[in-house]
Amino acid sequence: MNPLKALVVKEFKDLLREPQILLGIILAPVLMLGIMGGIFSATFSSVREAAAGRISLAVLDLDGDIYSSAFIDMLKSTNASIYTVSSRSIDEAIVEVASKNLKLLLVIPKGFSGNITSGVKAKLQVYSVIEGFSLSSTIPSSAIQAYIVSYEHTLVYGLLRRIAPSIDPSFVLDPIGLDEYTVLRGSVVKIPPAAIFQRLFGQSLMLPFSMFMVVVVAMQIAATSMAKEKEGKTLEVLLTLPVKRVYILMGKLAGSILIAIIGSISYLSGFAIYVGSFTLIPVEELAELDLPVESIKIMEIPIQGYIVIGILLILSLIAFLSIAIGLSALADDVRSAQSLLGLVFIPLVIPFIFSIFADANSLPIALRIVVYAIPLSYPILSINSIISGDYLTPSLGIVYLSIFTIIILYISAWFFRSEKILTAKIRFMRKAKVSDI
Amino acid sequence: MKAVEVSDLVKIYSDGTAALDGLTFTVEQSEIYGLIGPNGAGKTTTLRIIATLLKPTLGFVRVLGFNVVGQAEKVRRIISYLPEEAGVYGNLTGYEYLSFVAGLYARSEDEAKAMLDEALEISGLGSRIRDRVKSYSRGMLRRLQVARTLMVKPKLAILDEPTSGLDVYHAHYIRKCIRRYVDEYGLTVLISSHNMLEIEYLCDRVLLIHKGRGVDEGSPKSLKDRYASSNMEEVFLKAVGLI
Repeated sequence: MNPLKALVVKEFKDLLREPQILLGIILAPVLMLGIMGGIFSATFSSVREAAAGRISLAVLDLDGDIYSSAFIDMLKSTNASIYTVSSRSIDEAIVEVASKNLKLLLVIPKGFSGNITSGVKAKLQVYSVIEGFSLSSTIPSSAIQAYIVSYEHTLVYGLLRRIAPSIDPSFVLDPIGLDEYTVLRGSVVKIPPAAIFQRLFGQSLMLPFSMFMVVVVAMQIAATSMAKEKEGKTLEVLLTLPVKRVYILMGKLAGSILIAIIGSISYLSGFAIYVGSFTLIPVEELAELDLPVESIKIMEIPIQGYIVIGILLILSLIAFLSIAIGLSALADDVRSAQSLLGLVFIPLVIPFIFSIFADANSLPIALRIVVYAIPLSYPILSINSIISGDYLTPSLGIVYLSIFTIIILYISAWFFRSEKILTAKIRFMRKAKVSDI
Repeated sequence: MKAVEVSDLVKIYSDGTAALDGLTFTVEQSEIYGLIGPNGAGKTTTLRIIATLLKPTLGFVRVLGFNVVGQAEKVRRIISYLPEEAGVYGNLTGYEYLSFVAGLYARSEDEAKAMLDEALEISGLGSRIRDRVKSYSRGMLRRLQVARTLMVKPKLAILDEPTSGLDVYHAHYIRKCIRRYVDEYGLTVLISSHNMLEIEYLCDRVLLIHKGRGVDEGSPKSLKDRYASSNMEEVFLKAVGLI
């Protein structure tokens, strides 16, 4: 068998069967995030259904006049289920409502109609019977507000027709309309930026997040793979086998990347379920927005953009994994290796945060240099560059990352060829054992 | 051509520990050569340098004419190394591990299969060879490692405490396997052991090492005669002036 292929297969099998990796990186993310997403999704959909569905409402009409009757008639004309309480005081009504297992009591106080007639702000009272604080306990009182607003509109329409028949009531209620446009690269699209963000959610958030995940997961796996060799005392034999030392490094890189891709697919699947569970605008409503697809296409990453981002990602992966493997070779066991790895996670997080929340080019020059000195900045920040038609930054990124990766690979290959791979370690004040000699 | 030439070997670790101090010896082809000495004498360092894991500070080592520093890759093609504490990837089965190693040495699938057949016989693991290595006892692991080392029929087998962790029955069986491989395939074996019985049983010649230097060399019988001793332990103690 090709030695490199044999090493990759060995790495893949050994890592994939590692309980920490199989459970922690491959199964747990999709299961945990999926379950959490499922719970959120079920809760949100029950909230939406409840909000849109039939509301059971108890009504205590202490006014008993024209406007309270009209309001109750309007409520009866909707799909709300109205229960008229027999009690004549609020305290008794609350007890009655609770005994009927109803959640909502609408009280129309005495003088309600009189106030409206005389142009004084009228009041309504709503009592919510709750058993605990949860999202669902807020639904009924929110729902009744919609009915009240609707009745208000009816009142205003009636009033305006009476006092100013020539004026369109809808104009008085909503005299200013708003058309939102987004201008990108000179093209004007009649869509608010938030809608575009939602539509392009995949590339604006999921893509940088998935790249971040692949790199972080792959680094953890690569570090585990190398530290396992030391902890399990397999490294000595491995280094004396008839394969080029650089193949051992490449085998670990390839094996880690393969497992990381599987792990990331699991994570992103779980993440997609999780995020999708509480998306503000449901998918069907988003479709109803009727966004002009052709116009949006200019904001989508073209195929050559994905190729450029892919090259940048692979170069970053090779560089970061080589660093992870080198670092973990200094540790005696998997746990120490993971601790050492924490050192390089911080520079990984910086470009990710900027890619989502800020524009790196608007930073002060010193900070910009720091951000662009970090290899993972390029694949993530290049997304925005490519969308805005700037291929210079990603191209410079490829050049910079190639040089960076070659230097890191050269150092790693030297490290693997030298005896340091076996002897170098962070000793934490521990002296060498005599038996090691 | 000598199987192994070690000349004026000095090894000083980066922390300043001097492990070897001018060690010199040669091993003939198809010979079983033993290194004996107390902990810290430099045996493991010597074996690791010959196995291309460590680099000498001074001096040189050649394996069948190949320099272990400049021609390390060529050396690795003709050696097989068994460290004292050799682990195996716990998530692989014994068979998968042996297949992985055979695949790296063999030039054809038939050759790899022949290696695996040999290894199955040496290890004596039977159907357990298909189990994950993490379920193996220490003795089973050692037998798997000895099988891995010998199955590739290296020109030079470097064995550091080959029967460590084995019971009497399996230790005896492994020694017989090593002897058979030397007799049948002409292997050269360089062995380090604390087990003097093993050294006497296996070795054609022995080097006594103390504080990184060779103290004396010869066949077990000639050494016992020279020091008028009944066993190799006494030989060593007399050679270093402790009794």
